[in-house]
Amino acid sequence: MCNREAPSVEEATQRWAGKVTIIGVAWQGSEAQMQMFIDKHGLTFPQVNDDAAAVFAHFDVPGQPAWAFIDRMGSGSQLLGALSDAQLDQILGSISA
Amino acid sequence: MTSLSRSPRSSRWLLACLATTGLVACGGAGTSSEPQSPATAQREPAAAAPAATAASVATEAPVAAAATIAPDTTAVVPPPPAPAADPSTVATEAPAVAAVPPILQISAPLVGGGDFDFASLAGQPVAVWFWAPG
Repeated sequence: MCNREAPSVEEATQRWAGKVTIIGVAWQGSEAQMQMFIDKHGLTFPQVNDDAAAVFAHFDVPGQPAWAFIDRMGSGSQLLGALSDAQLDQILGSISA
Repeated sequence: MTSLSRSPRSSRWLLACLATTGLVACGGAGTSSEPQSPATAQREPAAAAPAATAASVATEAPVAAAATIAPDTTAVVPPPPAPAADPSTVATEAPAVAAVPPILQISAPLVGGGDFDFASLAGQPVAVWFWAPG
């Protein structure tokens, strides 16, 4: 699932550069496995190693793939599951408005 | 007779007046016709007029002069105070910008080294993508 979603997320970071900051949070895997995944998909945005699942817990995210969105005022929301490009663009557009 | 006796006196008096006038006039015109004009211009200021002006204007002219000069000095000085005011203004804005919502009060290690402080994203829209390499 993540392998399929990774390329579109990378494209989204390019599309929304300067408007929305996108951060990746990786879980369940070694540092080497995470780095291999990053290199494989050519991810250019920051990736957090959350092997301890502390960030997952902080954002109340029970599993992956998932998303957390925070607007300018600091209000957050979570979505469990993968998102299509259209869905992601719609949400990014709403939090950056 | 009296008129005759007076005539020499009056003529002397007239001569004296003319001489006095002449001295002033000649002294200025003869010696200075053209070259002296600058000299007179230089002397006049040092003479009574300038002194009187300086004395009478002392309360006003100096003030006016100071007022005229002051702006120049102040015009040069304002820039320094301005920057001083900016920092104070920024200082009041900085805390507002630095207000980090609870959801962004966390930092974690980055893949490849270093730490990422989510607080650095305060005030801007953020999307966090949760994934696993497996």
